[in-house]
Amino acid sequence: MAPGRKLHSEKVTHKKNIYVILGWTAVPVLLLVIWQLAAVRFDQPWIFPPVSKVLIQLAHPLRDHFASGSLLSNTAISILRVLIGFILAAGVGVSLGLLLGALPSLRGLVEPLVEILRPLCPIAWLPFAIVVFKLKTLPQLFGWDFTHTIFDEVQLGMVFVLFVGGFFPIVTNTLDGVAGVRRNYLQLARILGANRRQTFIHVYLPAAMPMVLTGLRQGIGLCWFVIIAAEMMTGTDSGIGYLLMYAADMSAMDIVIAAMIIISINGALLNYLMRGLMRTLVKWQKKET
Amino acid sequence: MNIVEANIPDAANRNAVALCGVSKTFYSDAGMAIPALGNIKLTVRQGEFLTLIGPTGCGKTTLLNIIAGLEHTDSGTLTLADGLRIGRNIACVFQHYTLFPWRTVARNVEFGMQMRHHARRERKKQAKNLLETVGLLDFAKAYPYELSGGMRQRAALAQALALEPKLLLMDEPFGALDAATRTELQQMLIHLWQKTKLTVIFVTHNIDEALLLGDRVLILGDRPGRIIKEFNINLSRPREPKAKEFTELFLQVRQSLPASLD
Repeated sequence: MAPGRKLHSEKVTHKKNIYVILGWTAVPVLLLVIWQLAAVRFDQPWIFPPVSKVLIQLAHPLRDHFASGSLLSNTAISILRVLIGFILAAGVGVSLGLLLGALPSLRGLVEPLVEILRPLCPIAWLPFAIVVFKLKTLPQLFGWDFTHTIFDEVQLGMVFVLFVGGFFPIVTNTLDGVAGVRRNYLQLARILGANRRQTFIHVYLPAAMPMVLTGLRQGIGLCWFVIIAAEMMTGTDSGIGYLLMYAADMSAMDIVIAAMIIISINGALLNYLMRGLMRTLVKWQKKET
Repeated sequence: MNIVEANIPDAANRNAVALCGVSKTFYSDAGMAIPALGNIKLTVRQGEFLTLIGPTGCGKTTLLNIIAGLEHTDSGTLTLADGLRIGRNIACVFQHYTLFPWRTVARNVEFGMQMRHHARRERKKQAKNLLETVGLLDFAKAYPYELSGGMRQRAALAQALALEPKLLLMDEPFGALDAATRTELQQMLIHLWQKTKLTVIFVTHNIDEALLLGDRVLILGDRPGRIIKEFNINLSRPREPKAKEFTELFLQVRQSLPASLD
């Protein structure tokens, strides 16, 4: 018996061809050059600022704008809000998804509600959330008036809207993951002597893991979308979305575009981190059909 | 349905499994009755290697599932030898979905022991021994997707043996393998069986395989599944498929099979 005649090669040959390399380097550089030349010629920087002005803003992330904080401080506030909202959504969403997936009767009771509330844009909740939570912040919830930290900028209304944004993709994906476990694996577990609790922990949970992580990835992406929109609404006074809106009112287009670039890079970064997490947690899934 | 646990230690209880008048009918979504098994009468002695052969859809898998306790009968009785129970000492090896894809080979083998709360150290040692037995020690840390079909079935066998079963049910376990790998695994299985003397019920649709492995070969007919013929294979082991006696038996089996199995 010769073990292992054909171990599938697990290395995915990542063909970094010349086009991809150019796509990451030459194409953006070319666009920036065109932008610079066009903006200089257009010569109305309050509408269409040159790259150089935007880059100067990005190079000074600590500079205060309109007494509303810097690019960096406002970005930090937005990220903190998203993390708090997302962690809440993840905790509740994953638990509820697992519960509904394991208990079909409970699923029958709750799923219609989920399906009705899901299509509602999270931003539509904001006016309601602001009325309900006023401008109460997270520290105030715990009875501390002001902590004089960044946490004073985390309003409960914001957290609620972020929670709504992240919750639905997380709960529905988790639910699908649990409910979609192959019967064959449940049967196998039974033959191997697993009781109900063990089956849940050792079969349902790992089998649903890829879907759970897909839900989390979608959820954090959506939270990042939601926070930017929410910060543009009236009643806010901080966050990168707020700074963007304020700068637009002040015709400071260089700051607007700098903020846009920061938002975009942050979103990509969050996605990249989640993908890395997925790859380490479910490496078994690579070729499983 | 009655499951009789035979406790009285007399000669009749040398049987590991006895089915008497077992029938099973499935119903399609449209409510149409699909008879799967009709009046099956079957006994399996302890330590026997029984092979079942029959056309696709003759209820072979249903029969195994009933014996395993994964499915109920409509009528008839199933008698298991004292102490035989699913989740304890009845092991199964199927053709597909034999391993959990999220566990390494070693952790798959450990699964049954883990459910019984065996100590981690003991589990690891036992898994290592079993993987050595099936010739898969080098791949203990590999995930199922990294294995070939034959290696997966070796791992599945180790996983089943980790239960220290008294009864091993196999449902076309080598059906998806190439001829060379299949022969290799058949020899390994026979070797293990001779060493442990467990009772094996082995379903196949390959006549060669049935004759090579079984002490006894049962031919099943379809709609509903029923036993149409029984062969006692008295050939000495190891068996040689090219020997005259073997080919003669092959022909007899072939002729007694329903036309649909070709």
